[in-house]
Amino acid sequence: MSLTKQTVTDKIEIVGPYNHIQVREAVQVLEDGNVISQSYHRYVVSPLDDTTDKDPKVQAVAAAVHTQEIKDAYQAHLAAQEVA
Amino acid sequence: MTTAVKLSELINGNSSQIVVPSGGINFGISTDGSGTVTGGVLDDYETGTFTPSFISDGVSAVTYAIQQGYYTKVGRLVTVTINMFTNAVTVTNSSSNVRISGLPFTSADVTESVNTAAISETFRFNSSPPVSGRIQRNEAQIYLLSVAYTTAGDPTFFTAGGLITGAGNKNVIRLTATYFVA
Repeated sequence: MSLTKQTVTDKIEIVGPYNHIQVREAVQVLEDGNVISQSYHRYVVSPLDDTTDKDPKVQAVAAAVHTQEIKDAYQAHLAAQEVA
Repeated sequence: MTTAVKLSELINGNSSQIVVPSGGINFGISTDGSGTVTGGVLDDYETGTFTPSFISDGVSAVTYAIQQGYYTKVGRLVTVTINMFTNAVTVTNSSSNVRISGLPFTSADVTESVNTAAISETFRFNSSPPVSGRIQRNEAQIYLLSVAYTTAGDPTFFTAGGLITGAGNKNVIRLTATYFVA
């Protein structure tokens, strides 16, 4: 019997007008290669976020959907939010 | 149109659980007039963790003693709890606003929507700790406010100058927030 643990990106969604990327990671415990336990960890990649340490799949999606136009629009959106 | 199934057909005999098809549970409350349900469908339930962080243009680095977030999503409504203790903070501009990033879902794109974060506890801050927070539309972060809403004036954003930079379980914040997701 061999127990191992792995984290896999199991869902990537693009939502909202600024193409936020919602990422779900499945943290899995495997016994002899079969998943016997699983939990989820999530994060969101916004257009201005650095994706250097993210899953290559997420980096590829970010490169495709976070265009300069989207980044500029999101920057303007952020500036408008910081008003009391 | 989704085909309805009997409840007894959804029961997983091995686990005694009810397995709901991807279409969700249809309570049949409202339709768009053509038979498609537009409200009254519960189509998602999920729990998990996320990693909250303080972010600011005036903070170059933060290390944490505790940095924990939990979420439960029911339909389009998600509730998060956050517990953070910093270990060391490097402040480069004390007047820059501080936010909490790392939320597990993006908030819905709804005009004039502001979801409130209820801060239950803050201590070991430099001065004027955050007392409330807001999640605005199309965001995965919480804007922190250091003055409570009053009839006398507007709130002010919590800034990096309010963070203690020293080591050892500082800038403790515990909160709960509920918001609609995109």
